[in-house]
Amino acid sequence: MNESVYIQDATASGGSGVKVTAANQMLVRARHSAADANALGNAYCAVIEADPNGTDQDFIYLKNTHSTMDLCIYKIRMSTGTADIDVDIKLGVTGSTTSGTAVLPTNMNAGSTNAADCTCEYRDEDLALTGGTVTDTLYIDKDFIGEQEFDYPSDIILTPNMALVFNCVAVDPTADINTEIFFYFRPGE
Amino acid sequence: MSYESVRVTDATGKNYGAKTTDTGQLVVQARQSARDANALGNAYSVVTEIDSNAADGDFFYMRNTNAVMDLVIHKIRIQTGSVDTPVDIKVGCTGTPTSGTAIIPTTLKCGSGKQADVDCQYRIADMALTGGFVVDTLYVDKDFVGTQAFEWPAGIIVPPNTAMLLNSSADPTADIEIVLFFHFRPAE
Repeated sequence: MNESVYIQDATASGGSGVKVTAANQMLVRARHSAADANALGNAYCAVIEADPNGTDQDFIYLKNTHSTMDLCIYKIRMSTGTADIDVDIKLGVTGSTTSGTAVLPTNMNAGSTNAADCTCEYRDEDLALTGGTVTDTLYIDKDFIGEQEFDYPSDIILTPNMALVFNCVAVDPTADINTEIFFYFRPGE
Repeated sequence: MSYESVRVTDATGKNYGAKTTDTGQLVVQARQSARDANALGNAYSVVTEIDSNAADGDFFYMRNTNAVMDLVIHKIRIQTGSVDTPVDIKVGCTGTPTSGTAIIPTTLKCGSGKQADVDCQYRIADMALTGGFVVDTLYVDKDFVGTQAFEWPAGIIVPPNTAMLLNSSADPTADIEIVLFFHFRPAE
């Protein structure tokens, strides 16, 4: 004979016993990773306008400075207005940025005072990092109406102490590239 | 019938306990499979530019060489600039690619150190595989503003020791620019 169980709250948050519906389904509240992180004050957006002012220029840098959590990018939006450009996302770059300007990502939870554990910088020229591997190329069309959105169903993950750059590859945009990077932190596995 | 009240706690020694809400819901984290795979370092991308240089050209080939896990393609971004080019995705093709050049996919988890268990190749001509069946056709429009993105919420599954290819039914006369995203998941 099977024994029945009630599932009770295992924290001090005052939750009730878990319900089962008349259709024999257990009620759960399933949180999507990014939404879950945001509920905990761990989701951010970096808003950046930078003109790389040349080709093969590292114009955005992002490094995960959290000691244990993974930094997970789930969406990027980009636009530019004068020239079609290719932007490589290079993971695993090393070295120090050259003359970067700090960007402070904003918390997506207005009720949270958490600040992102990252170094985020841009430069209207080359930040001059070394190494890294191209993991994605974003083709930004100057004639696109609105902003191009790039979603990552798997996320792009920076484990602790790892960094990436956005590199403007072969064409000088001769104008700002407008960029929003949406990311969250999640315990590493 | 007796009822026992239980609490759900972590079984890996961390002693975390699961929450319930005041509306009687167990709070769970539901992960879509690509995200779950990447948390474990099992998600990858292939970034490439290829002119298939022929109609009916097999220009991209990828074989799952993992012994037990399914390779799941969940997204492709693709564009070309000169000719509208339908691209067939064929799975289950057989044979050996002719004069292919190897491509190494890159991990989407920086710091994982893992490499994809695949044989991935391209050719600026026909790699001349045989068999397989078309699971999807991507109509790539040369005039599309931006990059066309195709997602498969259910994935395209390539089981162990099985191959897929991309075949252009028109000669694009220019590079086809592709970013292909995939992950590995235990087969069921």
